[in-house]
Amino acid sequence: MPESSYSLYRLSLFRLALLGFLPTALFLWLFSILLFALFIWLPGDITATIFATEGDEQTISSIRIALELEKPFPQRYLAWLYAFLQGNWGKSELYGLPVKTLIAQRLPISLTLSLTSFLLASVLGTMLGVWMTKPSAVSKALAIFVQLFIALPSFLVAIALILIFAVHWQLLPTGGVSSEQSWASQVPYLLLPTLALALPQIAILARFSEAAMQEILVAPFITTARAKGLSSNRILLRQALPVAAAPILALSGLQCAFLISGTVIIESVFSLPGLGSLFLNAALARDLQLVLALAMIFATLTLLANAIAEMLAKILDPRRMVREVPPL
Amino acid sequence: MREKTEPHRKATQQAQLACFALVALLASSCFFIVNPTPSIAISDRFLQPSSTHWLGTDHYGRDSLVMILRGGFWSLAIAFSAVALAMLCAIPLGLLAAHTTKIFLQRALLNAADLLFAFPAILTALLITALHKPGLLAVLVAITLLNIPVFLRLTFAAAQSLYQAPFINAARALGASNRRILSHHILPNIMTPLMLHASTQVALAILVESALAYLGLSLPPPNASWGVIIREAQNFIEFSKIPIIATASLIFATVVACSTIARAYSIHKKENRLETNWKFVENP
Repeated sequence: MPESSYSLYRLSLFRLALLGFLPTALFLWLFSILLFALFIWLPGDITATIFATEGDEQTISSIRIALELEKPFPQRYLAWLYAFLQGNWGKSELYGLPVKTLIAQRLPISLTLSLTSFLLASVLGTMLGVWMTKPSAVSKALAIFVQLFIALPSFLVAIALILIFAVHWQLLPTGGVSSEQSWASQVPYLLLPTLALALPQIAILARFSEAAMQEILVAPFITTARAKGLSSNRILLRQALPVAAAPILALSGLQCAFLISGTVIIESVFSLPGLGSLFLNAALARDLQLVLALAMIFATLTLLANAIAEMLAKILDPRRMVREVPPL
Repeated sequence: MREKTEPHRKATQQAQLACFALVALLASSCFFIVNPTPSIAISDRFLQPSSTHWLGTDHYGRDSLVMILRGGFWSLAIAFSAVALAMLCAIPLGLLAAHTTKIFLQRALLNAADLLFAFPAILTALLITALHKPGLLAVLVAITLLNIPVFLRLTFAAAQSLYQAPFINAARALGASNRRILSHHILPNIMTPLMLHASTQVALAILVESALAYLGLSLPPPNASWGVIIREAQNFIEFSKIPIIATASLIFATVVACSTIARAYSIHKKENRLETNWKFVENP
């Protein structure tokens, strides 16, 4: 359809936030309905757990009414949603603890892990990408390194790091840390996992930002900058990088989402007591209350991270800060 | 046809080699998958590589090479079928988004694709595991859902720029129906970039599948894909490092082969200007 007949207006910040968060909120709401429906319609409800084999039909039906299992779906969904939003997340069968307590215990490790590796990945990845645009022997070596980490899954990187740093050189512990330990004593336990989580993302971001920079380096304003006699570092960092920043930021938002879910893999390789390994254990043991709460938390965190990065990218790039209005 | 340049020829050769290697891998893994699983022989555990067992034996005394090639079949089969399924779902949706005049429908489809793209595959796999059971369904659905937004976006972008092309106007002037324009003019012209992007996505799918399999969310042994082989070999790493190293290098080689094919195409496109950017073509 012809795009040229659209009128373009500058997006206000309010409308930008609305456009960014509204679809995310809508998606999460639909996701919660789907999730709740799946959990409801699963064969074998709580009465089957209470009365394994015995229990006549009358007792079961009276229990079902007492537990409000007979009510129609919308009513049950709304009741669950209300309780969930109030922080009433039920009790885990696997651990015998309230879901909220379990998550509060394990959140700090996962959050530290994913945020540190996100910072590491976005800073190092962009810097390496910029550096790789300069033709030199070092950048060729870097390209091989980047290819290696792009084509290896993160759990293999983790195993290799364990073999090198923990088994061969015995510098760092392989795993086993508890949330009761002080923050400083946790650092050596978290070094390798952070590195394992960050390395593949560094490689992906480096390749992406190199491609984005190469695209910009052929633009006429770079030739002008060269003609003005600016140094190549200044051209790369002050002229080209700000233009490339928007797509790089959008990608790193997506990477933040992947890092949050990547904790599931890395935490189980290093056996760290974080949210990711909790999720894996809960899913394999079919601890439904815990899975429900964790799925909502993971979905919210990843989609929010992505939405925020998209909005920042739009603010950085005036070309994307437009509102298209279809012709009347 | 003008002379091919040096990087172009080199990329083409690499892509041919990559195709050959992939087909060889697929053929040998299919050969071993139709034969029964090697029998367990505990007395032959952790044998060193020899002329009968090229990569030695694993912790059950089975031939490592055969097990790894059998794993390759599952990894490749899951990756290929997930990408194919995703293309089947996403191409009609992408065409719909490009074709429709209802702006709301288009926005809804594209927004949903963007949101689904940020939705991690591992979450889908974990949910299906909790609701149903770990296995083929969990990985297939997870990887398909991961790929649908990619192909939807790609189809939309390619088809939308194609709609500006003069020959679409010409077809319309000749009285072609919407369906004929879609099936005879749009679809054949966007298939090449889609197929070649599919090779990149297969590479990604292999990585995701191996991670899910490593977590125990994919097929259970003895139908083990590469992730499961690594997870099992990791427990016996003091005895033999060969299975891990061999499987890791096969994953690496497969992923590199897939991305080499895609890269050769992008170089080819750049040099031959296969696709004109129709936005710059003046409408007659």
